[in-house]
Amino acid sequence: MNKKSLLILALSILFYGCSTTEPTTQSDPAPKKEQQVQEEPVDFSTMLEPPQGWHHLDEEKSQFRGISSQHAYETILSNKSPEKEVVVAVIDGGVDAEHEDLQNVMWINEDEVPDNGEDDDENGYVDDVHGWNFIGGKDGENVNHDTFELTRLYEQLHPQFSDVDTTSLSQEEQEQFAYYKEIRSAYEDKIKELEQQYNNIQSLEQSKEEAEKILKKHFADTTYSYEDIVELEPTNQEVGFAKNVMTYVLENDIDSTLIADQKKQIYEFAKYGYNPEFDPRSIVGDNYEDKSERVYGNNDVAGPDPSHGTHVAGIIAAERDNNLGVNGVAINTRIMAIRAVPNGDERDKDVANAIRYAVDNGADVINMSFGKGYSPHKEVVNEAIKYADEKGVLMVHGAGNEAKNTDQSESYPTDNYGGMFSDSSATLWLSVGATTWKPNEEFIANFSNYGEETVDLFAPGVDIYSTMPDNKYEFQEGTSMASPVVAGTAALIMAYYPDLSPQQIRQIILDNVLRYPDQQVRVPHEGNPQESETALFHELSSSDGIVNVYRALQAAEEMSN
Amino acid sequence: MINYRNITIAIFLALLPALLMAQSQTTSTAETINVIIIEMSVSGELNQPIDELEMQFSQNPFGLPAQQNERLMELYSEAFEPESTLQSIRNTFDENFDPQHAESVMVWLEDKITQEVHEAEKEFYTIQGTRKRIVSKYELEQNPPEQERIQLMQSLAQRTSAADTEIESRVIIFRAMINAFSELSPQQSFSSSQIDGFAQNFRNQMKAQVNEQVTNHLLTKYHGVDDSSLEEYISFYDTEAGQWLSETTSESIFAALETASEQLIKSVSEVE
Repeated sequence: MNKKSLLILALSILFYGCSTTEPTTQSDPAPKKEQQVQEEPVDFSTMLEPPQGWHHLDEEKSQFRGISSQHAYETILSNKSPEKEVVVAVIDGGVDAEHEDLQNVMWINEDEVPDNGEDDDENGYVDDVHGWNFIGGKDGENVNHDTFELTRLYEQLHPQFSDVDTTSLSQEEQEQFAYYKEIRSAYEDKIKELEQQYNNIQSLEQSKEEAEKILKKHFADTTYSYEDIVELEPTNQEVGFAKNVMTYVLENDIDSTLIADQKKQIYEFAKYGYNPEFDPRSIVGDNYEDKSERVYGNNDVAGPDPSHGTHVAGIIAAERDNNLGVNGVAINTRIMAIRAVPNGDERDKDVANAIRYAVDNGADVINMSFGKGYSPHKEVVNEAIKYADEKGVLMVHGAGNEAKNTDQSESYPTDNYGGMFSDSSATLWLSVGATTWKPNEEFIANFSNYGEETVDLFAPGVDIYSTMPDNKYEFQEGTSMASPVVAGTAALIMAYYPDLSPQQIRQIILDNVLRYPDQQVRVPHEGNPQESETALFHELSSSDGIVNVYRALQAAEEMSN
Repeated sequence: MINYRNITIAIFLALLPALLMAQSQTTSTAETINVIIIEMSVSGELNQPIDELEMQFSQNPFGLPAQQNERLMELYSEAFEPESTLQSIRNTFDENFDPQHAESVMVWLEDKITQEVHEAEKEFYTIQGTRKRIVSKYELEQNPPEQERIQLMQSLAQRTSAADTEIESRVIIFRAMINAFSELSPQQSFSSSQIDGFAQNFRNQMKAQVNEQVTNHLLTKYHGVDDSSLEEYISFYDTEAGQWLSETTSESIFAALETASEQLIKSVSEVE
């Protein structure tokens, strides 16, 4: 055993700790062509990357477990026209409304005269042409980074309880103290975990550099492929080390850009997200303590970093068949961009106001590709969710990327708005986990949350190619990507079958998932993936399946006749 | 008849001032040692390799059955428990105590510059310090320091034998864990010479990179402390008292780790 081996073994614990708002980013400058009908069997065991747009494919035709949307457009929808324009609100970190593949599908507030500085439609928001930004100031400045909710709770409780004399606390204060200890422990664990992640990435980077040097020498400066590495039979420890490292690197598609991105993300988490002294809220200029305050922010729906929201928007409704970019799942669908999610954790007040804005301005569907582990002002979000539910707006939420069972540990917001003494929950809610393109034990994305009761269904959420700011396109992964696949599905059904109610559409989606009753899958696991258990796929969600557009449209057609 | 009781009492009374002085000397020595240990963040320095390797080993790099690795890590935590390692540190300082050097150290500790540097060290080992460490590491990578700054850290490392302490503290823990693994693994078992071999291998690997690692560590630790303060701080280690302090600190760390390692190996051998 030597240090290199220990480092290599340490690689196995690397995980990219992405929240739904911070998915792992992989950029692919040379996108692959869309998969044609597959007659030859696909060797999923050696395939490192799927074809671009695989999530649209049909399994029977291509062997890829997509959502059969392409098949639906080629068959059921080929002789039909959409009957309604649907609005999907994307509550996120911002959307690049000028993207070449999104500009024609952005929602336009027809009652608002652009940039005249007036609230023409008197909805409370000035010049809200494509949506609204709840994390910006009147002066145009925007919140980019914000803290995590855990940090905010720690910052609030730590000064009060860190040096307290516990013997003098009242019963109520004892309970608060117990809660403080829980928060402090969680916060400290996060910091230590973050440091370990950074050290792991540094080790990986160094090991990769060393391995590359060794292999360059071994292969006498000629290029080598993944297969060359796999077939390599090391004759000494050095080459053995290099083989182990490069196998891991190539199998996980790790390049310098990814390493740099991950380091930067961890740095930003440490500098901002987990920094109790950081507080950017003054930028917004609202009375933060007044959780009932509705009107604040600005009309900059892109903000400083619209990468995540732009990717989500593209999955839903990127303009189809325009010889550009990608195809969204839905057609005849407009994206209402609502900025409420910073790089950090969204704040309950902003989430609530974003939902209300969406409802009040005509959204049919709300996509929420974000989540957090604590919601100290859940009551204001609950009220907003209840409001949306009562107004018939379908809410689609990414289940989260913590590889945890949400039946036991919630990812907020949730559909349960009843509070402590009630079971009331939204009827128009869908919680979405993420699947991969691998039809085997790795079918569930290894980061995806799951829950037999609290996750409604799954959708493709790995290696999803979609729009990125400045007319770019990239692969990304996360339940952030799975959620808009379902939101887009709902929008598509609404566009073609406007007489169906949102409740019916929700039920159609759930009743027509594709099930794999015998599929064993690795249950996502926070720690060492080698220690994950297996379960049957159907045990991990309430519908037992993965969304299927073709089947859902067939059912919608039947129901409408 | 001679009154022995009276003689005993007389002797006792005669010796009483000396006895009292010895006791107050012991109390005062203990207090001095405590102050030095706290101000020098010796516990923090000790706990770094312990925590670091705990994180790594908790990921089960040896591939033990999950339950066994969990048990191993419980025993690890018990053996390297902070209060008992702290006591080991105190014992070593006590054994090597030199009143004259200790007094010089105490005076030096009162110095404003020394306090500034030690405040940075103390924060380094807090939870906010851990967080800021990540920020500093990244920022240093993006904006590498001037050569003079690097040389200053190398100078500090040399004077405090930081590299040797870094290597040996990790080798001690590593060796203990290999021993433990050998004891617990249902499939593999290593002889003493094999374990020595692994430890030596580990030491050699560390030696290849330790100077750079230690320099980076110090750059991170003293990220907010200016060069002139550090130069003045470092100069103390050229004195006899400074050398005594450096040697005793290293020795106390090794002794604490050895004691904890022995405890770990013993505990593991008792696992059924």
